[in-house]
Amino acid sequence: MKRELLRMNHVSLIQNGEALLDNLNFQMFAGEIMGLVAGRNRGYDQLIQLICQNLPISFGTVWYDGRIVNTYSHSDGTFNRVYVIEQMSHLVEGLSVVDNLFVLRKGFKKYFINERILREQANQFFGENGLKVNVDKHVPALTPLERCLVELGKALLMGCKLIIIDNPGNFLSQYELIQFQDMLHLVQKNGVSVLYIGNHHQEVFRIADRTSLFFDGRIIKVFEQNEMTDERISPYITDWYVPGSQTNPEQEDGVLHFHNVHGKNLHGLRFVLHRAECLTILDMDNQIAGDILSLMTGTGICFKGRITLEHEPYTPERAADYLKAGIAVIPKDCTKSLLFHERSYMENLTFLLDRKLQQSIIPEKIYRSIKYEFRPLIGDFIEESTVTHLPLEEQIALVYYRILLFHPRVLVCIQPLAKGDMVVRLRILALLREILKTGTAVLIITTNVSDTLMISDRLLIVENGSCVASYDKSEFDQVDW
Amino acid sequence: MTKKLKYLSHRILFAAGAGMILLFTALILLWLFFLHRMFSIIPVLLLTFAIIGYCFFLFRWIVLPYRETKKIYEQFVMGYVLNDLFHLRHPLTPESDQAILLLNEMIDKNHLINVSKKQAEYLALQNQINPHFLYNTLEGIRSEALLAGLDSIAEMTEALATFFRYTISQVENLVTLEDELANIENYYYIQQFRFGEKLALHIEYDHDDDLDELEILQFRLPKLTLQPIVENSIYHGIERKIGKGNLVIRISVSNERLRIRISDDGMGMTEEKLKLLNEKLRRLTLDDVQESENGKKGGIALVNVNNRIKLLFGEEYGITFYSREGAGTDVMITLPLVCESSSL
Repeated sequence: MKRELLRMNHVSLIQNGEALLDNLNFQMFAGEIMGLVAGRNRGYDQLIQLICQNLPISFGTVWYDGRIVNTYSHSDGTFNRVYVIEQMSHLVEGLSVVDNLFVLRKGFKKYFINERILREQANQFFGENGLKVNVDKHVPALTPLERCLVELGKALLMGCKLIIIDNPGNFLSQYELIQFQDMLHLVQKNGVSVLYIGNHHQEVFRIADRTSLFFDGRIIKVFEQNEMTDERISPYITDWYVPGSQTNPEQEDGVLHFHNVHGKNLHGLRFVLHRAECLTILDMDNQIAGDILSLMTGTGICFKGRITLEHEPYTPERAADYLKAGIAVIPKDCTKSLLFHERSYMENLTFLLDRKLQQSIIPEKIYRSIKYEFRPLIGDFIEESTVTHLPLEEQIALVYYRILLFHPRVLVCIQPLAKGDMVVRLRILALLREILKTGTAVLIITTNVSDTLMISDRLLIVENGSCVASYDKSEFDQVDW
Repeated sequence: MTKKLKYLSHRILFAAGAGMILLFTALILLWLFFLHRMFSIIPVLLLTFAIIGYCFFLFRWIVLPYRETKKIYEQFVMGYVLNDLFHLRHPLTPESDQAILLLNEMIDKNHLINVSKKQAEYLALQNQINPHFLYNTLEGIRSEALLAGLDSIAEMTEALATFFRYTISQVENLVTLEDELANIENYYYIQQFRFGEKLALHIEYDHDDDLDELEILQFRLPKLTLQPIVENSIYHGIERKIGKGNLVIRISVSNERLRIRISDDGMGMTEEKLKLLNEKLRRLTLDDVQESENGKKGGIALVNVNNRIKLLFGEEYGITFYSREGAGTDVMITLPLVCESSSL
């Protein structure tokens, strides 16, 4: 008979008058993989925190492993045996895998450490659990997949019965993700439960036994195994999803050409990017984003092959002033690297305008005109004196509005949908759509295609630095997820 | 001693005594210092530690338990909890504890009255529905008669009779899931004459190998738990929908609970309505059935079933709605695993 591991019954959490969790009901059974897709992230961090630690709640009861651990009337702040694997590593960087596993474990009281024995034990442990990890490595040398597997092993050694996997698609490549999911299935067979959180429902549906849809502090639907289909989830996300791409890529000669380009991790990459076209490159090994970025910004060199922009060679010298050449880049964590948090919204918005106007001081008339044009889109946020306190969604939107104002020839986006909940992602897609409408060509490099296909006109699958498959929009349904 | 100290009033007295002792000690030290110019660091340090310990003791033994008790009172006043009030870990005074226990006994008596009252309410509800129900059913019979299908008339009449027999005649409160599902199938059979192909019912079981469907069917639940919900799904969800409607009853069993999910792919409901309904279902209301503002009794049957489950089994059980406008509604019923017949 199924055993209940976690049960949250009518849980509400009100902080500063805001209901972060609102009459939330959530159950997990022992040995199941429960998927969680967040429609809107409000209350999401608190939910994870509450599963891990018994912090005060405004109403409701939490059961973990058969006993009440938290109620509205009494919260003792203790930790439940839950481990979170997320983008941020929980391993100590300077130590070896074995040290992280055994020496830092609670209850390890040996004064003299026999590394050989520990290594044997680690090998035996990983072998027994079907995890393939090289225990001789030090933490900095681990690949993202190995790091996740070591953390998975650490969780099992700590006796955790529930492991939360927070958006692995953001830090693992497609190949790594598949291997990691296989490992999770092995762990599941040993009776350990997994809460698999994903931004993309397709990714979650692929692995989960059941999936909960989280929105605004509540579970709004639980999809059973036979219900986890695009068709069944679509009514729940129609409000957030806007109709498909309205762009019509011109079939003239391309703006950007990669002719058999070789770089550090590129091995003969070739593609053409047309005006107003959105091309998504699915980086199966999570390797080429850095290479393409460095080639486009002039910090890397092309070993072999050539790149042309508007049929002119795109040399490292030209790339060094890439903004002048009409190339804009949005890196993965754009709010950290592209915003001046202490500056006003308008200063941030008009940051690149001096390049376009060829003058360092923007005339007041133009400034007012921009404000007038963008106010209906941005709202009162445009008056903010700093952008520090803006919600994440608005900070990301600001970066895209800046690009919209700059109007580059080519926009390169690295994993644009890696951060934020479903609402934020859909805002980004809508903004990209606006950018495409102005004729800018958009190149998206990602390790997870699910939502980007909504605006993409073509999809290239790149493996080992070269293109292995290409799909047009009409063929997207043939893409093997 | 420990038992006595569970009362906050006793703890406060105890703390007051300890506070007095500390105060006197401090005064003696001051007296020694000012009058005899005697000063020693050790008693001052000891006193400081004693005061810190005293504050810690006050916080752990009085402030925190008081907050816990206060919170339970607050939730009770708001109507969210009932049983927690009768199981306070830190009652205020022995007298208030006794008063609450007395209230519990009174409510228990009320409970018995309520159960019979609620049964009457069920019947009243049934009576209210019956005219429409009978009308539609008789319309069906008439149509069938017109088409000269005598066998089907007999079957339909039998189904109707069985349905009424189950609803009205049985006296016990807890019935087997098998009986409840048989009643639902019977109800569905009758509704099919009206809805025809438009309505489809599926029953699914989600269980491990160590439990078969026959065993699941022997678990018990309050009588007429499913029918009002199915009826609600048909009338509010599927009837207004254009095209075919599916009704799925999914039964799953865990080591402690029986979960029954009734899903329809009908009209669903708005976010506000859903929130309001779930808020209503979270509370345990002991008051009688009240008519809604517009005079309709829609939803009363659900609140009634929910109240009954909560009264019989506790506040952790009951009904929860999940819905989306245009997508359908899921009603999740959570019950304890009850195997034996009970006189509840």
